[in-house]
Amino acid sequence: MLNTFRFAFICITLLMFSGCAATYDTQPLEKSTFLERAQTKSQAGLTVTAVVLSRDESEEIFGVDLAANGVQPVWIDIENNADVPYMFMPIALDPDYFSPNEVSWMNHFRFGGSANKKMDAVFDENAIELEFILPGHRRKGFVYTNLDPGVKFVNVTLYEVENTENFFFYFEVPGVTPDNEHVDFSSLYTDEEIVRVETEEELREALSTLPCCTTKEDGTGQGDPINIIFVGKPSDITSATIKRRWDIAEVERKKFSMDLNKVFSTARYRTFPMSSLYTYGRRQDFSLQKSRDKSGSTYRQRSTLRAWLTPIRYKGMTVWAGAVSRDIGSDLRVRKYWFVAQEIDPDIDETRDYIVEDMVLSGNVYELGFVKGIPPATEDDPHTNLSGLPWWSDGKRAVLFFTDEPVQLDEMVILPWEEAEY
Amino acid sequence: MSTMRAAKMLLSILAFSLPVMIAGCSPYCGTQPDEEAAFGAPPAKGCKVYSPSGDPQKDVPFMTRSETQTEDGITVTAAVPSDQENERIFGFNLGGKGVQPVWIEVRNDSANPVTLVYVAMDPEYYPPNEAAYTNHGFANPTNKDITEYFNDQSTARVIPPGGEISGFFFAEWDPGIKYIDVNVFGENRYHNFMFYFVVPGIKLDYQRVDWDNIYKEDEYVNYETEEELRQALESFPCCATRKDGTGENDALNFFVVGDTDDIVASFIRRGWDVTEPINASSGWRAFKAYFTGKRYRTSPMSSIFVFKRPQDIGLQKARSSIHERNHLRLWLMPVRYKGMDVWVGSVSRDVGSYMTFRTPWLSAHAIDPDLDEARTYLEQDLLFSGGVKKFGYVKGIRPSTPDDPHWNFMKQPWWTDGYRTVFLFGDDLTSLNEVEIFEWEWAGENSEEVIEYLKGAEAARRNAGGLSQPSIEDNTEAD
Repeated sequence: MLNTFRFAFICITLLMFSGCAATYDTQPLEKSTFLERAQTKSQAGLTVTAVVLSRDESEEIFGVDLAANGVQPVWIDIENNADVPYMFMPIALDPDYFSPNEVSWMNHFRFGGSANKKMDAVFDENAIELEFILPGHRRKGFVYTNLDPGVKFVNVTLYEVENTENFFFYFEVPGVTPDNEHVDFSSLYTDEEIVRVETEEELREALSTLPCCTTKEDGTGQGDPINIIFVGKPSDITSATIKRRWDIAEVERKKFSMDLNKVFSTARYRTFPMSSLYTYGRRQDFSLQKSRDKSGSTYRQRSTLRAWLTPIRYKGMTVWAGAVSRDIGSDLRVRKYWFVAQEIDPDIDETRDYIVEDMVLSGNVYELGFVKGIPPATEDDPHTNLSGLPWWSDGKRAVLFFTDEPVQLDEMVILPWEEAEY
Repeated sequence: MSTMRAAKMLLSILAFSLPVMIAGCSPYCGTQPDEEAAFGAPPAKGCKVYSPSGDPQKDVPFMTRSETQTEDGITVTAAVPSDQENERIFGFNLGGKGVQPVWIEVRNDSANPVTLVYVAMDPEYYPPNEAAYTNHGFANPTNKDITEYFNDQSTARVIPPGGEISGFFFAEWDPGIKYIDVNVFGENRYHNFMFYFVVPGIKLDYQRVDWDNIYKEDEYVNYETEEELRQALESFPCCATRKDGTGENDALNFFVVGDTDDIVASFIRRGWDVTEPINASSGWRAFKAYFTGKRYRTSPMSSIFVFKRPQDIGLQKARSSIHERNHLRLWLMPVRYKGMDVWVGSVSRDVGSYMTFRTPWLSAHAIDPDLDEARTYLEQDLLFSGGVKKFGYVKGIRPSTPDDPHWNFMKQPWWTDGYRTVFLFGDDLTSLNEVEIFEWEWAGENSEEVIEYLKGAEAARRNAGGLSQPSIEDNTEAD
């Protein structure tokens, strides 16, 4: 108890004096190492370099903890070697981007007149100017965006009267440990185990051999259905999910009480750890989630996607088996996590259709089909998963084919496999 | 510290279990609301009965506000019930849970099946089970009835050829005006049906304006050429004034030209919200929002004066809290351009709020003094709205700098390069690279080079016949 009092005393004292002794120090940009993670792309005579700052880097450069206020600076460097002026449009990168003075205001010291002035200047001078970039010119600086934890999609849109150029970047932001860090994809299957297929019919045949559902750790039991299949290069699949603002899941920590705090807090925790389901005798190879974008919503309302790499290769592309479900709230029951358990939407086809639409709208899906493979069930006679929650389905799985070329919705090909909604 | 942690946990457990103990203990009186216990009849005391409206369209007159659009054999009808109406339809205040049901009817007279793309209509839509779950009580015997009712009332996704579907789509709640873009997808076809509904329930600032009597018809000056318009806008006063027309308050840093519906629709599509007039209730909510930092999307705006009257319309786009939003005010001018209305506007970015005695709700917003930043934001936002057909800049404000700023009546500094943006709105959607440029002046550094380039580009487009005239391809498509 003594410790607690001492801690409180120090806090109060610090608070009282913090205003008077406000100093504001930043590290010069050149000293920071963030540019080592830069990605550069060139097209149409334009060269764009981008980096998303981690929490620590932005604290180093700006001297204040920007992530605490939900701000994530993105470094943009644009070189115009085209023959017309181009203008950068940050609103396509983040429709709610912050202005330099706004970020500064959030971090102002209570009584820090001169320090605050200095802070205003730092945020202003480091911001990229949003004006036309003449041919042969270059503009660089930060855009202050809303924080995305774990992974971030950065879209740099450059406009001129006749033409718009888009540069897409996908960043892993340091600071969040993804739960699949330990997965060694190259050792999951031996060469003999790989099933190589070249035609659509062969693929359909191969997909019918996939397990219906997830299992317990020992391979027994029948849990959630495998109701979505992704075909494509891993980078194209992740790009599409990041573009549609799916978040990764953090590695599950053993410090239980800390997590419990997060459970009960009302803050949106976008990279909340996801529980393990098992297929092929192993935990999911990757976990993705999308929580409701509204203040006060928590991990309790999110859609989750767990996927496993299958041994199937279609025209050299990887094939992933996924289980999707939508958490619609939490219920108090005595289960694995003490009394907190997720309630899922039992109409699991609704969730499947949601993810199909979401992925299709990424503009990276060129083909879509449906295959059988799950024992059908109805509302009156549902299946139950391993947590005892009911679900029902028409028994069909969606198969999505990904590419890195942009695909318009009405250009997408629908495979004449199973009769389905699309 | 471990004792603290344990105490915290204990508290959380208590907080969670308390409502559990209170709820879920009352008796249950049957699985279905029977005929006699229809809407309006109070349920028997101590009984738990879920009695929503059995037939919303008959019981609740929200369909009087429905609208219908037809395109290529697809007919879409939509209507949005108010929060009060929803309470009668569903038995719950869904608005309080962030859910806004939208009634949708689709008839498919084409030869192929079509599908509604829910995610494109609202990326955060609620499936019926989730919308129902937000109203479940703990261990409440009526939960099952609630879920069943929400499912019965919800719309389907697929419309077979010659078929028709109808029901509610559970969208995210929006205050004041609900915009819904019904996306219909089929083989080689993709349609958008855009609807805007003023949802009854809150008063909006523009509803108090007596539009017909702002100006007499002979007060309007109509301009037919761009040059006349430019001169009229450039010579317009720089700033808002006191009520009596004196002084210099906030900068008037943009103009919009076009049909009021097209203008407001463009803002709504980009997520701008309408504004409540200042009254006791809105003032109290703004006061509360200041202390809790919660979002209040239609929070009232103080009046500032042009033409000796307060703004006709206020629009705002809130970010995570009430402290941060972009807001703008519009005044109708006694000016017309080719018969279209012309408005003068003032836009600024709120970066935080502070306490003051200058407003009735005791808090005011600190604006970003770099006013051109907000102007740039508005330009980018509107260019992506699809509503802007043409834009450019005129001068008209004395340029100022951080060292020698202007001051508004709230004693806040602001500075600008002195330019104001002019937006011309059209009734068709215009994509980014179809937007035309007023060949007047350009703001910012290198403005000479930029305007020269823009003039060249516009001339090239005119020569190619791309501007304002339908191309040959368009004509063949219409045939």
